[in-house]
Amino acid sequence: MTAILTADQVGMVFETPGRNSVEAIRDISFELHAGEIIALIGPSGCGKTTLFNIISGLLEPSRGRFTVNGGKNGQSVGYMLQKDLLLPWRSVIDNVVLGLEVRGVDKSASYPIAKRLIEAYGLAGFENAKPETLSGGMRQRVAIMRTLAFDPAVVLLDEPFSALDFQTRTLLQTDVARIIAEKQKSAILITHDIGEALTMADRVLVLSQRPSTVVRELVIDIPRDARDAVALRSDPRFNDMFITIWNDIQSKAAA
Amino acid sequence: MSLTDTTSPPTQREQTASRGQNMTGPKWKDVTPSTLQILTWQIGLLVGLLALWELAVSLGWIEVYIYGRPSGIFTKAVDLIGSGALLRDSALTAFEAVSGFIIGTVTGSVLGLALWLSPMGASVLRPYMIALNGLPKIALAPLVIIWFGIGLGSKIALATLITFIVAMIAAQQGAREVDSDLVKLMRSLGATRFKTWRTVIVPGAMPWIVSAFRLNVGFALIGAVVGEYIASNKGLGYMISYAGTLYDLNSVWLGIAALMVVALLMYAVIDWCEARFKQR
Ligand SMILES: Nc1ncnc2c1ncn2[C@@H]1O[C@H](COP(=O)(O)OP(=O)(O)O)[C@@H](O)[C@H]1O
Ligand SMILES: [Mg+2]
Repeated sequence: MTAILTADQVGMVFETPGRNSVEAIRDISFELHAGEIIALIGPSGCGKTTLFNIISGLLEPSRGRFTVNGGKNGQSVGYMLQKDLLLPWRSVIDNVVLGLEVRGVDKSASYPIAKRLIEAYGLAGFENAKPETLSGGMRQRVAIMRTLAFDPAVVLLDEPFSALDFQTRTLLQTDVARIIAEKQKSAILITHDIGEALTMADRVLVLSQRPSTVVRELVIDIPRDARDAVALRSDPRFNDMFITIWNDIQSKAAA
Repeated sequence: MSLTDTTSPPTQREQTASRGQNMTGPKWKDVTPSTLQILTWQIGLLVGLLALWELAVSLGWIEVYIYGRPSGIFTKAVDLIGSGALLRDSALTAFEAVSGFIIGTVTGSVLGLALWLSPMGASVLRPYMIALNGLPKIALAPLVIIWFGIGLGSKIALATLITFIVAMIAAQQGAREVDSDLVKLMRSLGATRFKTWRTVIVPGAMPWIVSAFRLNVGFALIGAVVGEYIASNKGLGYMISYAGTLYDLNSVWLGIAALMVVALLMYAVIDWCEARFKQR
């Protein structure tokens, strides 16, 4: 398997003048393979978002480095932030083409790409709707299309479903995992939700409290297309893994 | 059940029986008054006040040379509208205010937005902007009159200066208030600073800029009128201050009413622009 992204002993210390420095990340190394989804689980404030900021090139790590597909950081990374961040004054389609527009792609070329995504992923007919008229789940779909439209090799998802109600969240988890598989993307998913990690990911990395390291790597050996949020609840392997991760997080939280 | 019912104290049973009438539930009806009702009261209030005023003068409760009187204002209005003087003065003051508004608001908004492009420039200018913001801007009037003379130019310059400061501060503030995650998103997409500015900062700051437009209608009129108070021989400000020195209170009131009409017209134009802007 080819590594599409490599984290090599990454560390991050925030130096704020006049204040104590904050060591967010101690030492994190892992490889993301082509077509794989990794879930990152860890206590709040342990540096997960910071890790994404580094991968997407927004921040320089203090130590170590990330390499994306052998190239420069941020070049082929689609970063979906915690909020959907749709531009309210733009229509759905104009939001979806944002990344292409920034890369200088003309509307005549970007609109067909966006149209195909919008139609394939359940928002046909909403091309010209304004975001305020959409439900939370639909807005999140648009944000995902915007992330995929410029065809990044790696997709970073920072707690993408945390603001949605249970039913919408469950539907979107399965949908997004399917979209990522169809588009043959690799992804890293940050989540608080162990069930979500086990539904969507091939591997789970459990992070310690700040300064964070990887305390456990768990391979989920159930094929992704054989999993859905409901079926998993009745699978004993799912239960074992759930408890393992739960205990990790609990003991780290108590420490 | 029946046992508990009969053993419960009578007061409690009464309460249950009369529920909804007085003991529980909302104490007032949440109804919105109809437009017609509101309009009737609004006109009624104006007519009532004017009638009371006229009556008070007629009965000698208040002195006409200190307060004026509605019938006198009306006569004056007929007079000055007939001679074209009122329209001429109103048009002049409106022209000064509108010119100052446009020049000041446009340049101020553009500069305030542009400061986002230069964190260095913004930091350097910061204390000066705070000082200007706190300053009662009308205090600059005498300086502007000295620099630009007693003619039309100084009134426009004063309105421009005040609206410029207000628009610049609002636009800069608006640009700073744009969600920093939107900037993060644009950066992660590989956008240049300028592209980020055009795509998220300028549209995101628009609500602030438009609300500064509203403030600036008032400020532009203040600039024009105070300029005329200080040094002029034309315009509504001159008309009001000149009539004031003569204790011609009816003309003072008429000038004030004309100013209100000018202001309302300017607000109407802004409302219209805003509605069109929102449609896009
Ligand atoms: N720009 C920054 N300057 C200083 N400290 C920061 C900065 N960004 C994040 N931190 C700190 O780093 C830690 C990790 O933050 P974050 O990556 O947002 O955590 P998570 O996403 O895992 O909840 C937190 O303690 C936070 O306060
Ligand atoms: Mg976070």
